[in-house]
Amino acid sequence: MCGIIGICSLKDAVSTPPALIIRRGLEKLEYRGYDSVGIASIHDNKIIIRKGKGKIREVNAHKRLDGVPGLVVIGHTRWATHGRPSDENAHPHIDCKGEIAVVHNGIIQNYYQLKQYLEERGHRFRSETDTEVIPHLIEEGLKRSRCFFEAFREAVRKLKGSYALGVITVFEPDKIFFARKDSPLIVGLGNGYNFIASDIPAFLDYTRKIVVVHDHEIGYISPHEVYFEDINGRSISISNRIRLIDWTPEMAAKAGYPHFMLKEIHEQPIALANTLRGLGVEVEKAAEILLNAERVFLAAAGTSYHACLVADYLMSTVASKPTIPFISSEYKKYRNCVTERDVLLAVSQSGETIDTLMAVRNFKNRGATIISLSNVIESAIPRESDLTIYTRAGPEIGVAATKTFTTQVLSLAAITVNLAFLNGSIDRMERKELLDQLSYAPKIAEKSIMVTEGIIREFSRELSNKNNAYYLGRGIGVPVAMEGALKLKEIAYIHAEAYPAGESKHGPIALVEQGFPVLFIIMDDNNYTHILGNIEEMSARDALTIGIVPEGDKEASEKLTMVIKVPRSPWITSPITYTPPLQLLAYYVCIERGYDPDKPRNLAKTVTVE
Amino acid sequence: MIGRRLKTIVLAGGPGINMRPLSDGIPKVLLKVAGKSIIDYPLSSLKETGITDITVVISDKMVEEYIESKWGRSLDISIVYQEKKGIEEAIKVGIEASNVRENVMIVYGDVITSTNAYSVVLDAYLSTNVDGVVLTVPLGQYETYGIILWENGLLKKIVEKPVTPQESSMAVGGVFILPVDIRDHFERGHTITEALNIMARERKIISAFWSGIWIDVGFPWDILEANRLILRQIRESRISSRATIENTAVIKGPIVVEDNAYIDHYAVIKGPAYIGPNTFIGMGSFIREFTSVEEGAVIGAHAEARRCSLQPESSIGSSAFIGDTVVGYKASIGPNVVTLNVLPSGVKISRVTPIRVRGKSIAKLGGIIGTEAKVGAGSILYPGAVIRAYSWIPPLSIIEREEL
Repeated sequence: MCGIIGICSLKDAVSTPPALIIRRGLEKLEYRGYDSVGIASIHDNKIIIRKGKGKIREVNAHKRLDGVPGLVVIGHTRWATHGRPSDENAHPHIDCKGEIAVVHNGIIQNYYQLKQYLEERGHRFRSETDTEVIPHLIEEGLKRSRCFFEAFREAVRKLKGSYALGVITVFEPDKIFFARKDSPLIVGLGNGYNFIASDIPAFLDYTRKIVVVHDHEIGYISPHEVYFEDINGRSISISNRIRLIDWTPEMAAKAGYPHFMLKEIHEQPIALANTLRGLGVEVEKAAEILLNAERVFLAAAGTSYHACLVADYLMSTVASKPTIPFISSEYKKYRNCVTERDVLLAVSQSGETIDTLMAVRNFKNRGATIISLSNVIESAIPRESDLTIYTRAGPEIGVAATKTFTTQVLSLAAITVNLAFLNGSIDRMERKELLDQLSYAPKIAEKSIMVTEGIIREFSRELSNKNNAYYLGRGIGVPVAMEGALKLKEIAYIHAEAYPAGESKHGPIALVEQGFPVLFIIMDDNNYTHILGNIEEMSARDALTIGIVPEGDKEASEKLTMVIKVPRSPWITSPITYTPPLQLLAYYVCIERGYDPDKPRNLAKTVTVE
Repeated sequence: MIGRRLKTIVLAGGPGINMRPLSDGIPKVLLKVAGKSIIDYPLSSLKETGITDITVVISDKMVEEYIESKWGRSLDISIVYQEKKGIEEAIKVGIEASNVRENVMIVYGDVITSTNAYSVVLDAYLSTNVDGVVLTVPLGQYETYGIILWENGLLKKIVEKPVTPQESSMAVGGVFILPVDIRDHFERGHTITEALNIMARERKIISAFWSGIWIDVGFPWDILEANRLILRQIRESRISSRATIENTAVIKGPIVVEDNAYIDHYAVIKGPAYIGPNTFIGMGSFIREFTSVEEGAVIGAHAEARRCSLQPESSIGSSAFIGDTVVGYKASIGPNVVTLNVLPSGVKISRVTPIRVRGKSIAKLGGIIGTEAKVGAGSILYPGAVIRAYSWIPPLSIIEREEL
């Protein structure tokens, strides 16, 4: 995902300089990506470009994006998928002569063929991006046609994949050309100025009149004109497609959800599917490195640490490879015992978590091999790692991690299965079977959400009056319980602790009295009968027992006060089945208590101070 | 170029059979919840989201009169009557009357929710390139609703009132934006569920999700839940300067007191509660949390009401106790009447028992007193007792639970 925006303005049509409007618009699009940013404008019949890697605020401070002159300006905020974040790979991209600048959101699937074709014709490429073929393609077309729009149309017809494009050129210095397929694009209509953008909030401070661009439509805007045409080159009237927006800018980004957190919980099936698709040879490479490791350490903080605990459980049980998971900030504990035969697997959603980064550096200095798992391409931790695997959850805006957790678990499970095969713990058939089971993760998550959300919304009312809760599980259910408890603490501000259910007798049960909520993670595994005993203990003390049970369960359900049934699923994917209901429970308790789940107090999305 | 606003159809017709005996003699959408008629909730939300071009489909003259007087000046409302029964007919009539050509917003007139629920639907529609949006609300007790199944973020199908194994807990939330040709499906004799399923196959229809307050007011006890949901949102008290509160009365917690309410000596009102205009709260009475005393209702001396809805011009006699009870329009409860509002174990009343704890029920239900019914002095009402509209219950009666 990336965000694009452009403005064509008459002089003095708006009191704010256009470049500043674009920079502010980009900030509104930051939820679509934030690893690099850039602006291009036309001034004195030349294209001016300022761009760089980093957050909008940082790049603006270094390169003064706001100071770009000109009345026709385009901008881009990037979320790298292909090509690492760097100054060169940041948009806008230009042709050989610097007469055409392009911003693009989407993926050009046939860019490699196009690039070869263009290089044969002498075009020089400056970046590793797919986008750069577009300005060169238009440049090439202009050799044959004198009409820029015609060359643009021809170029767009050659593209395969998804795109929302904004193009400026010195040949038509008062226009922005646009095209769209499968990526969002909106035109905003002003008085003496017009906009294009990936999303409405980008320009909502300046106009509330919009037209949604449809797939396969191309056209251009100028300060006083908007032109659309269809795939066959016939012009389209948009007068009956104009809409007036009457809502607050913040909400549009959520596209049909009241909060980012709920959106991201619901995005898990897609995030898991994208992650599955993105798991390539790196997973096998990681398994090979782990195979040869003397010891495997797992380092992470917060939710990512719980993913590590799941990985620890899987590696021990499936791959017979016990690991040493630890909370990143405690890395000093191991500083004297790490050797070059050890491997550190570091897990960080942002790739910037300072504690984990410190652990990585420390292990690296001791000669250990570093594998990292991150959601942000080429962030700090991946840069310092020997090998990185990426989850493809997309940007996560909600401070409480949701979709990044389940995608981390999925990636780590895939690594484990490969490791187990390499070290002979499982045979080829078992490997295939387990990988098949993992491939159902998106479906399982979808069903789990669809089936449980209603009952969880109701139970949240009862839970919202409580001050404490225990989350108990056994086996692979323990890290799941810990993640559930963390969510409840983070956003619903209810004190919650997770324990292995067997541990509850050794202390925690002292606090249990009538109505004390105890949530059980009950899986259909070899811990089932033991957990029944734990439910009895809590019921005997009049606790409010809530259980997440597999569909069709009878025995445990009869002992529980409240039952949440999840679809039956293979054991290896059970954390992915059981976690979404826990996320939803925390979310709905938060709503019931009247808090904002997207902005939990005292918390930041990425912790960059020790 | 002029901004084009989304035309909206509000469905407020139908006889409201499930709401009887409260809806006898008064259309369901005119029943009151915390000072507003049910129909006011969708209309005020639509107004807040900026939608003004509204067609309301009704079947009762009283609704027209009410809407004209209350909303005629602030909204561009046209009223149209549905002659035949059914939601499909209502939508058809609405589309024809509003002369809409592309997409239309369809809103159930008996759903009480927040304005933001309408906003999420509009946001989803305006910011994505889809043909339609269906508001989706997760429900624990979804048995009486159409249930939505989705796949890869798109609506896959809608199942009508499921009874068998649970596939989804996502209920149809009663706010839609749909292509206007849904009407053609009705012409071909399809039901709304069938039409939506055909559209889900052929077009891009997505769900917008709502996680906040939401209730489809269909059954008498839904009024109590709606009352609770609305009253708990009151953050601070608002007391009209034209109300009279005697100096020994005690008012505690968030409470709304409207014009010309009279609260007598030693009355205790514990919020959240709503005391409507021209009401009379008798001496020494006790109004407890989540009670709405609607316009012109009377509470006798030393009476107690808890989690009740007193519809307009109803009355409660001296020293009566009523809990979890809806007293219908102009109904009256005699002195010393008692409702027993704790359900015996094992009784299931759907949609009002959100959480059933084995052996004891958390939710409670008192009585439902029909329009203009009179309950004689000293009577006892068992949980779930229903008194027919216009009936007269002699003094000292014992009323057991009656099936509706």
